[in-house]
Amino acid sequence: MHSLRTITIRTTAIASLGAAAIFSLSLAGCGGGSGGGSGAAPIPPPTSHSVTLSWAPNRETEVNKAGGGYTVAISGQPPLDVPYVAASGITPTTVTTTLMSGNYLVTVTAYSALNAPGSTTGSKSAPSAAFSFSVPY
Amino acid sequence: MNRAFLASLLAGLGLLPVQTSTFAGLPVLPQSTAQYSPNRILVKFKPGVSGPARALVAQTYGAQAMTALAYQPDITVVVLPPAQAVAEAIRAYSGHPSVAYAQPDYIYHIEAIPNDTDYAQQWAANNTGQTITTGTWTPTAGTAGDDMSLESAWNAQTDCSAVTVAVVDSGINYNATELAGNMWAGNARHGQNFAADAPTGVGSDPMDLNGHGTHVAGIIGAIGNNGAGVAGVCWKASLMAVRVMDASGAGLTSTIVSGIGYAVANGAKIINMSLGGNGYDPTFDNAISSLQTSGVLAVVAAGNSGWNNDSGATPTYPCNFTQSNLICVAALDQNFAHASFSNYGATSVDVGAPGTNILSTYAGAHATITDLAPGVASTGWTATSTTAQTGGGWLPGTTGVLSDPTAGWGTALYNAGTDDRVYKAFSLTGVNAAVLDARVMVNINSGDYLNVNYNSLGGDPFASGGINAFGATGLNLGTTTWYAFGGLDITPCIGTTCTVGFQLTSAAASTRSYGVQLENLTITTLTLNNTGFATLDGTSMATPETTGVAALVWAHNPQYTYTDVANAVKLGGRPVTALSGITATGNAVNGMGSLAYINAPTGISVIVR
Repeated sequence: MHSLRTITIRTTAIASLGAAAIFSLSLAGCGGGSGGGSGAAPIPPPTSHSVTLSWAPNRETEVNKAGGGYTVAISGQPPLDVPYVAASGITPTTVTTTLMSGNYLVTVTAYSALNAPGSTTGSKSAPSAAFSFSVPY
Repeated sequence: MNRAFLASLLAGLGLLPVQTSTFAGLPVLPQSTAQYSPNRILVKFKPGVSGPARALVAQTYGAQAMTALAYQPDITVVVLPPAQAVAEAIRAYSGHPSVAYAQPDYIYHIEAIPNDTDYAQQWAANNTGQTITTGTWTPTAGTAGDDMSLESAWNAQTDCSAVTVAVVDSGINYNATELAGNMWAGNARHGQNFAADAPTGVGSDPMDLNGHGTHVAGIIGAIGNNGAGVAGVCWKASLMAVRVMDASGAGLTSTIVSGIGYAVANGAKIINMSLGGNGYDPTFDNAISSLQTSGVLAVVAAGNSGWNNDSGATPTYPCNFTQSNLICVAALDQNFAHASFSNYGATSVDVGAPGTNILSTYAGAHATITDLAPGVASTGWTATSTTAQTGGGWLPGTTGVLSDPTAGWGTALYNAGTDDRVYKAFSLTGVNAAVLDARVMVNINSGDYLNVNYNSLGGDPFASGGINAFGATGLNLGTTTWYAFGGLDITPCIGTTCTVGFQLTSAAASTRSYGVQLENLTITTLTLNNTGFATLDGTSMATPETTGVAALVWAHNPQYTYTDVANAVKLGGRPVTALSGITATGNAVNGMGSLAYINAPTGISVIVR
């Protein structure tokens, strides 16, 4: 059983920061922690956390069939490929990865095997609006 | 055959798959954009690996079945267990010492080119630079590649029958051989008539007596790949005939909004309206808005006046309505230049589409009866007057032009207190529709009138039984310049003795004026047939090209909303220089681009543990 605490996450559009929304998130207790005390608090050592990213499923048929999927781009991390899964017949809309403490931006791009005109590598959407989040120490 | 050579050969044959895999290394993992069978892979075993040894390998990885290719015995098709992904299987088999390589069983496609006999004339689908032999709009030959990429789109989708498209127009010849199999099956006449006239004596019959609606319908959904005629953007379709325009091509707000309501109530998802007017129409505006509740998309024409719809002086409706479920379409020529007749507007017009020299189905064959050709004596006109004919009154037969007063029109004046009539009998037999037109100059005083009447029983059409084509008050244009009626539907006059007449009446106290001149009288008839085709120009044609693409997109993506479809049509188009700055997107509609368009994902959330 994990204890729960609350952190703050903001969504921002990279190009337009005028309408940032603030959400509260219940956070399960993570490994590591920070010490208390008076005066300047020492910077705690970074710790690793399991991070699950989710997004709304795209309605395009081609995204939800063989050759379709999503690419999840997290700042400073190699992109994560989330392809259609033949065995289940669905394209997942969640991915779990491990991240160290810090601040991150994430965007999700959908792709399909259907070639746009002039392309031989299928097609992809524009990236989603960037979503920022923090992984605590 | 080495792998590089095989790849080269396949490429040379134009048979490369949607996404080729590499032959250079092992394993040959599927690329994320390739299409391949999800439940089988190909395994090439090393030389000397026996059949039983191959079976043992397959058994090791849980294969459900395996079969060596008949003429490529080194290649084995392995059917995967349900839980095993292709990539996972390829990694597993590739790591086995008996396996040379494993790869996906890729999916290839034929290039979808329909076999319709006149398909080569359909430059909007595939512009090869061909000359459109029946085209009259210059240029009749254009630039290869300036098209809607339909052959590529047809690899993914040709059947739109799940998306009912209402053609709100002059009706559809639903018996046309290229359309009959693609008509909406909701009732025996495939739709409903809302125009005032009754095409076949049945008030509800949406049979097309103009030709325009059938042309529009064929662009959207003429049966494709049937070895005859033309191919619609949709090879299979569900076309609902909603007749709101009469034989002359004119319709009213009341009929149009009734037709829209009928279309929605009967399940239409897209409404094509290749029509327009220039006055703001709140009833029409509200009808478009109400479509949103039912999730219906409207595709409409920009108009053919060559002007900027965004100019406050010259809006065109419904194009200038601003709802998000409305796409307004301008016309492009065969070089993807802006067709000069096409209206435009950086705000009001969304996209462009092919709109010149467009070959499609037609409702039948037109014929034209002409009379009153200037300078050519015309005969058979009967004139009567209640006043003396000295200078005033019609005096037919001397010149091609009918005028009242006959003597010195433009200088002399017509009589006061007169009833001057002139009429002629025409034989209109074996036809289904008739439209009267003429050029007129009408300069008469207030309280004096020009009337146009007809009577299918012959005789004086202003006597009992005649029908007033202008309405009770007649016409007073107050002009001394030539003006065309623009077509008066006289279909009820069809018969052996249809008399058409003109009448000038003046008040007893009239101060009189120059009167009326008539010339270039035509009666254009339509005889229905089921094998008609025509090549036409207009934003009326660009609109159904767009509607067809919207139907393809919606059929391919049944989870889409009208917003998704509109995004795909508008944003999946091809940027065209000629449309930049004069349309909202600067894009030409592109079937493949719209099918391949993907909306950006939304709704990201994060949970950190």
